[in-house]
Amino acid sequence: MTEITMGVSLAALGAGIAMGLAAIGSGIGVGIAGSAGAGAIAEDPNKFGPALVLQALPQTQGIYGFLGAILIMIGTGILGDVVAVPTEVGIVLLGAGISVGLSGITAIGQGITAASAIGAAAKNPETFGKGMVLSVMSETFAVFGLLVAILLLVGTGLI
Amino acid sequence: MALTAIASVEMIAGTVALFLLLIFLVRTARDIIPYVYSTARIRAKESKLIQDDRLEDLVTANSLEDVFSYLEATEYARYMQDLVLTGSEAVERALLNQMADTYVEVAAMVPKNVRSTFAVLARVWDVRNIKTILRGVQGGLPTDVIKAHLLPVGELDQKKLYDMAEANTVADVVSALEETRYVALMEALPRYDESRNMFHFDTALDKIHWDDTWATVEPTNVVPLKRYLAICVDTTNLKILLRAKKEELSLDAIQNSLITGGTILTKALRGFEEADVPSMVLAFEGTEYYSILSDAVPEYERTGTLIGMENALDRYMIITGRDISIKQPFGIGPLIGFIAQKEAELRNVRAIARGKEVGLGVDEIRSMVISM
Repeated sequence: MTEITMGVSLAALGAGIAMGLAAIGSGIGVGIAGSAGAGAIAEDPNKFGPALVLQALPQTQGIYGFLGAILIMIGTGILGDVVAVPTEVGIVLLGAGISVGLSGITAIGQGITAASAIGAAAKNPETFGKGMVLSVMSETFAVFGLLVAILLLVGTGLI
Repeated sequence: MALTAIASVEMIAGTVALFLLLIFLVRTARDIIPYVYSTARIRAKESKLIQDDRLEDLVTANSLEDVFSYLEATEYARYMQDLVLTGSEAVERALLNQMADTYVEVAAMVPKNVRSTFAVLARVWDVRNIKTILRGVQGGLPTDVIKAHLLPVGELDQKKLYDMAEANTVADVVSALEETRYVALMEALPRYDESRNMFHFDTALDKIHWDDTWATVEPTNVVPLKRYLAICVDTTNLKILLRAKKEELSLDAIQNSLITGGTILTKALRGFEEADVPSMVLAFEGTEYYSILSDAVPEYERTGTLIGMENALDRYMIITGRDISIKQPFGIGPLIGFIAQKEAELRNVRAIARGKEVGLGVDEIRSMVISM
């Protein structure tokens, strides 16, 4: 069995946090938007398309969390041959995971905006595009979170 | 060693931070999630409301038949089939049937903490039915005609309502309500016998309805609902007081009809006996009702009718409902706003239909419409 160092353990914790928190964020966000979608569809089944598109938006944070976790696992060799990761680097990777994970919480805000946009589109279909733009705004911060994580990984020379 | 200690401290701090974050998330979710479904559904329902431009089309329609044709292309279509009534009464019946279904649907959508309030609000149909029966019996209308105007969707079932409709006198109708929550009508009977004025029954019924509704909402912390119902109670009390003043009734005659809730009652009662209608309005200076009522005073002084003031109060109630809906996009706001807008739609279309039927001019009908 390969010996797991403290550095690798911290990196694995970072990967877990990246995916776990982002999944919570996306799950709640998609749930909120989905509930609104169900309400709109109950009145008018033709609203399924716009509701589905808007409901999908908060899913991306989960994808970022997954990507961040994969990058950490590739960098530390958890998916293959484990490389020697000093504890200091492990803490940096933990930080990278936290960055992606916590920024994934923005999916909740995005879900709330998407739910409102679904309601607005249900009332007036012309507002669908504008609702999309408003909903996408929260995404920016999740992208920043992922970017910081990638820069940290590049900085440590692991990728 | 030092690094391990730092890592441990960071992990503990991180765990605490995550825990606090989770608490925040749960609280946010708890406030929003119960209303997400209903909010979107209400927004979808709002798309089916008759918008201002379509309302203008109805106002300028050539005849009542045109109003009929328009409504047959809306969600009222299925309520307009197999109607016993004709003319504007048929339109009104369709509107009321649809409104009754709306109340039932909205009551089923709301979270548990306010469900009882909406259930009590839906008893407005009992109040409307009792008022219809009392007027029908007083006017000596045939039983079939009275029955055709009833809408048995409240607590009082069809059999009970039909039995009441078959009563010979107003006193018999009131007696039939002895076993119900409307037993207090018995107290209004002597006053009615003296004056033959339905005002006493109307106010007694409104008091029962709004007292019950207010009692369910007062213990809750649902601020927007409380605000909306406070305005409903205030406007009902103000209408009673204005009508009483116009008909020169004493405070003793109406004291029991006033609803013990809302925000304005104490101020409204101050100096009631000495004041006339315009000076009564002056007494509300500093409240939200002053500007609403004072704008309608010149019309009252010119025509001697309270219609302008009553319309202004109704308009304020509806606009407040809509404003609550905009200010609180997730929560009880959209439900309140929708009920208010639906009430406005009912009122507007009914006014247009009646106006067309009696041949009122476009401008006269337009003045009766509440623009949303």
